[in-house]
Amino acid sequence: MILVELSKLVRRPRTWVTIALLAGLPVIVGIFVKTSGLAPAPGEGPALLSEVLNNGLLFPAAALAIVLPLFLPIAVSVIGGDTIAGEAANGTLRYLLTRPVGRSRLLAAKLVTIVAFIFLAVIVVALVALAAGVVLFGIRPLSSISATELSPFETFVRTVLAITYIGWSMLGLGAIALFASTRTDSPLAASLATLAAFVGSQVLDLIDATRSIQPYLPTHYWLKFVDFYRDPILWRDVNEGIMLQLVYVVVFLGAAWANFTTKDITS
Amino acid sequence: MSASEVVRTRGLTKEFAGGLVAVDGIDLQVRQGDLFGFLGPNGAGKTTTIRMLLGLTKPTSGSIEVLGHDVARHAHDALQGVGTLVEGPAFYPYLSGTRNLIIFDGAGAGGARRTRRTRVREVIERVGLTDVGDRPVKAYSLGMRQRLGLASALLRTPRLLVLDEPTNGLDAQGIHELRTMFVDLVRDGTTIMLSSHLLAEVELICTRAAMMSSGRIVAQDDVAEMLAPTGWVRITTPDPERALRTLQDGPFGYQQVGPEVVRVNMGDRPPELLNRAFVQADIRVRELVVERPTLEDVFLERTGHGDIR
Repeated sequence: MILVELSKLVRRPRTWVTIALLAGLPVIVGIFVKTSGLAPAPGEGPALLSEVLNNGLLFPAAALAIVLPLFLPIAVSVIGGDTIAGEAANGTLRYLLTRPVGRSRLLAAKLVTIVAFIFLAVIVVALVALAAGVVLFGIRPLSSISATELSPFETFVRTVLAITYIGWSMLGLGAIALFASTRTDSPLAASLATLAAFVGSQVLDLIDATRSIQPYLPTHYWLKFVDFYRDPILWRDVNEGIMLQLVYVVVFLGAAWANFTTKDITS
Repeated sequence: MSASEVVRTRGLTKEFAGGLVAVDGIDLQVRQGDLFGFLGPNGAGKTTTIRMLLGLTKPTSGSIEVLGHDVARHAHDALQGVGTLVEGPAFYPYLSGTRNLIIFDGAGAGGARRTRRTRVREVIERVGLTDVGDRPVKAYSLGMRQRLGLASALLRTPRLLVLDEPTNGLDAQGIHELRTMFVDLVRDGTTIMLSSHLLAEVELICTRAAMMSSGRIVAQDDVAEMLAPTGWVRITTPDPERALRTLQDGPFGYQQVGPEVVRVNMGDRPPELLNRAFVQADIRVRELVVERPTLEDVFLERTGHGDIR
């Protein structure tokens, strides 16, 4: 069943259009930065972009920083919200379940699909950005944020870690999307509910009054992937982020399972 | 449940939130080898019943056995041997017909991957879609989708086919082909449960039928029993006065329903008696018809013109 779902994912034109858009945006940004020679000042604009003019190897990380705050969560919401609700709206859910596919199995396969999409997306974005970065900005030894030098190999390792962390950071949102998707027969409603959770989390993360709950917001540790470019790597917040995502996955996957395995399928 | 029963429900009830009782304590019985018509107007509860048979919705009370398995506890085992077409076919529109069936075949348990394409090719050929199998489903007509839905139901040669309004969207030729296919399938040992609101269509092929109205079963029997002669014989004759005179002397009730048409209530007596009596009296008989009810007549009679409450 997992293979069947993955084959549906990669055969669907929408998957690739979404990923192409995700990968395209950083390239556009890169071209403008290159032609204008105007990188944002350090500490302003997307993380790490200020460094890119000096070193193309950093561009994959900068690219992820560009799509991470908005475009990647939107893509995850759309793909995740579509998983069950999309099958329901399309009428294929009843045919899968009477084939028969067990409901737990279908849910598990859908979760794997979301995870596969997330990692496919971040890897493609990173690879496209690497190619664009090398062409536009060239390769040089990297200054870490902590002002020591990182070798190209070290940079590569840290970028792999950062990509993995960013992918992992999307899992909580993916689980929320999966849960929302079992609650409705409309993929649009499920995606919008997920986006509402995402925007809500971002808003609460910005204001001082909510400081006490901020460490528990799903988006709180997302941008901490820049800590992988410190020397030595600053693990504390990253670890918190990893654990927090795990909690969200367990809670919302459990809720999705409890709901989906007992509900009447009327689509 | 005896071995020859493929579907058996007892007191099956579904009450929706808000108190609407869509299915009200029905006892359905489909036997091995039946071509079973599940009839009733739209909204009678047919689809809700079928959804419960297939484990998609849960009964409020009552039990369901399908192919010897309790659906409430072992839906997976029960559904292994069932092919379905419920409330219209549904596919992934951006994929070809063949690819859609490969996906559905692959989604089920078992079924060797090596022979998957062969299985899919066979069912596509059976429903006559070989020429368009590689086109995306979004380019299919309604009739082609319906055929592809049937092909999907036929994957893995199920023992029981549960088909909800399978002739929707098909033209006269398509409906005729479908009837032939159903009869062939039943001859090969498949049991078919066929729901329809078109009673005349079912009359032509079904061996058994249940009729539903407002959530209840109002009739369930062999179709031959349901359509047994009413005892009335309709005679058309160019000599109506003499016919009436002869009938006046006879033992049977009668009524004149047209200038040259008389209906005679023969009860259990064989209709040929009447023919002989007329011929002996030198009355010309142009037409003699043994009256049988249609399924629609049976339905209207059992429901008191569609309203049983």
